[in-house]
Amino acid sequence: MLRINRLKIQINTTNGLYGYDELFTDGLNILASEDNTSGKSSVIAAIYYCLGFEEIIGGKGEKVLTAVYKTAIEEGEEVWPVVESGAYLEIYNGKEKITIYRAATMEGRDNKLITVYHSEMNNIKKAGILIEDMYVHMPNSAINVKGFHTFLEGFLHIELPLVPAADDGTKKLYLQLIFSAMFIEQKNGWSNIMSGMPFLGIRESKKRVLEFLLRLDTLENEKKKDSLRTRDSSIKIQWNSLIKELNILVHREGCVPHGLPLSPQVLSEEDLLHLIIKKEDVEIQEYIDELQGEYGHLTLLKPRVVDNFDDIQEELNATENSIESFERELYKNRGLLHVESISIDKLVNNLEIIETDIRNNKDAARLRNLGSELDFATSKDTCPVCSQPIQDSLIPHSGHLQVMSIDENIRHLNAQKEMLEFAQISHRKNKEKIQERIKQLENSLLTLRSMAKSLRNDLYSINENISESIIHKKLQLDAEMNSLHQLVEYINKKKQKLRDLSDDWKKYLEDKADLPKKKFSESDEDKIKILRKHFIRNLSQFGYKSIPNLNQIEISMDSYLPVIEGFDMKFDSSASDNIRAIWSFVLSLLETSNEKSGNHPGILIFDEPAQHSIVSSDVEKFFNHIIKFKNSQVIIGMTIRDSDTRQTINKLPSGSFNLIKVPYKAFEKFSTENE
Amino acid sequence: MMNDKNYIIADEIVFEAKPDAVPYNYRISYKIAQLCLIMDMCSRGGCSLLKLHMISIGLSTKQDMEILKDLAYDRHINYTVVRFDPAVNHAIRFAVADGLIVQQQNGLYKLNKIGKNYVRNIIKDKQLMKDEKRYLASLSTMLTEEKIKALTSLWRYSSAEN
Repeated sequence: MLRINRLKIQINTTNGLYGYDELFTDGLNILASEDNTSGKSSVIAAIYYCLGFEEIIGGKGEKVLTAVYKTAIEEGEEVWPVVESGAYLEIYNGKEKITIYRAATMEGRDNKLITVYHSEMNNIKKAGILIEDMYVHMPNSAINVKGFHTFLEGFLHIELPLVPAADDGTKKLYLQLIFSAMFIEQKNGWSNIMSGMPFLGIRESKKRVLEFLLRLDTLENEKKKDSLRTRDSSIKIQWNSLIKELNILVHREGCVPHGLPLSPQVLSEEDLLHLIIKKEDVEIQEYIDELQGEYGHLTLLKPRVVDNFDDIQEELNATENSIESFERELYKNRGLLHVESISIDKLVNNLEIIETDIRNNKDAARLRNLGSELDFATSKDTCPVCSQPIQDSLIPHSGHLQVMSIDENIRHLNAQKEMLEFAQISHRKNKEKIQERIKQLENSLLTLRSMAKSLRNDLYSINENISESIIHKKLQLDAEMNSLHQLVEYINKKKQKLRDLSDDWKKYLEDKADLPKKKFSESDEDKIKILRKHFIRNLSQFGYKSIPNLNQIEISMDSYLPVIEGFDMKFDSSASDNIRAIWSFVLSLLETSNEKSGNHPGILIFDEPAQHSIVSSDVEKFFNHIIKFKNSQVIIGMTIRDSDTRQTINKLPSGSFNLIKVPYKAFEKFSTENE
Repeated sequence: MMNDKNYIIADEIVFEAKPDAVPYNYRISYKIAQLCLIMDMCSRGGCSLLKLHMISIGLSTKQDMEILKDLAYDRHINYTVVRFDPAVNHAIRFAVADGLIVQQQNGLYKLNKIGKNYVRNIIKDKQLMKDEKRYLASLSTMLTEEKIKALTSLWRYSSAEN
């Protein structure tokens, strides 16, 4: 909840300190001035300004404030120039009180700066009070820690939802938007329901604000959906990178993975069992066992050459055969690599040409604009001689062929560019693949060649020597077994990770299935029904007559705004009835939120609600209705022009509201002891 | 009977020509601006049609730029063929009709008031025709009418047989 406790405006002039200091209470506060001077608006504007909500009035910074803050104060005949000005506002959230200070005119202090004193206004000068500087209306001030609105959000114990923004992203719902449904400003505010809402790049902002104030489940669902979306993409990213890593490592050892799930899915134990790595069509563990067997076999062999001459001869042949086939493949791959490189070069070249083309076309478009500014006939597609239409082309055109306009041409070239870039990417990928393969082949060739060399050495060596090839082979087998063992260990580790991810995925799918299918929950429908009930009751109470049968009015499930037979109510309302509708809607929002524990902070500001000379008996009913409110604060700015209004206020039960009289000149000189 | 024949294609097929793309070099606005720039940056007291052709072609690719510059700075004399682009003639005619340039008594073209104003606007915009401006500034007035005359006089001997 939010309550405004006290407002103190300080204006330092060449004639000393002037200002205004007033306490506000719970319930109805009437800020009344005898004449429509700027005093009352200055006071209400200061509240907006201190909270950083001045965009609701229309504008940012001190320019929304009246002249007294910026230029001069009049006192009788005298005019005193303003030296410094600013305002303190004490607000209360039900638990703690803080005081906000924002300067309007002050040398060396930016008006975006807001100082928050964590104490009542009386104690702000005391030692030991926590003082923090924050800012408003800066990029990210709604999400940054030092942003005042972030602080205010926390202070009011509300959690603003993330909502779809106009640029397809998500944005936090701004406090300014929410408060524009509660602070009805005297100029913009009375043309329509929530018409004072500034545009801050949020799609369907009125709807989002109403959802928030009524705390509808749809908003909750949206939030849930949003968090599910982030979970979904996070799991997908982790899964993909894991699979990619696995693939690279497995292929580096010349193995092929089987049963690798490429996208997130719920894996059973069986699935995980089927996830195997094969080398040369044999399961990796079997392959290692085979190697082990071979190794064992080698140790059995007599290490002397003479004993294995035939074997060595045979093996040499086999090795040389495979060297040959590897070389052939290497040769083929090198050829392919060359082809890919050439096509990449060509594409790069083409892309460069297209880029200059695009640039030059953009130049041409601007030149054309420049030309039409200087009033050249050719820039307007007319012939300067005969004033007949011509096409923007110097190519002698045949027949009636249309040519593209420059903008079309630029789009056309951009499309081509996209296509070329796509082709380039795929060629690059191919190239990488081939390079990988070449590397692999070269490695295998190296081992095979050194093997062949050892075999040859054995063949030509003295018979009694120890066979080099056997030792060589042993070393090789040992190394291979080691690296394969490592791979197996690694895979097992990653399998565990995959299992965890699969569990996460399962949980995600379950949560997704748990989302309610219907857009509105039952309690949502209930809330909207209650809103309608309050709204219609308020309308009839305040004397709304434009629509004879008020029961025809519905609250739209699309916009949550009142409609009649699907149309905006405003079209059927007279000017004063439109004001009644705004009263009713703003009040019924508060009532509904109070009844159904919505997010409404329980504060309303109406500036000059008696627009379009509404009869004073209706205004009286309006006041009396507000007086009955519990748990809320309503501040109403009123000009008392005639005796009717004065009587209206006098008729209200005394003690049930707080009358704050703003004198002819709101700002009086502060006596020194006040300082 | 008629109902039995359920043709997908009706009596006629209509082909609709899609608009053709036009290279920037053949846009009226671009070419006129290019020619005006050449006249402003590369000549004093008029510019011959031949020179406009040579520089306009010289601007088309990086290679062309180098060759033309070499000729202008007397670095080598391998500049053989002057290519003529009808688009240049076309653009000149448009520019004359639009009041940007005039042909003087001696046959050379020069910018008049509107044209000069146009060029000033183009030069003021730093991003507009950046490469063209850079190249033309480096070429400056080095490609003189004399050099062009000397080159064309060669044609008489090298190309004409008998």
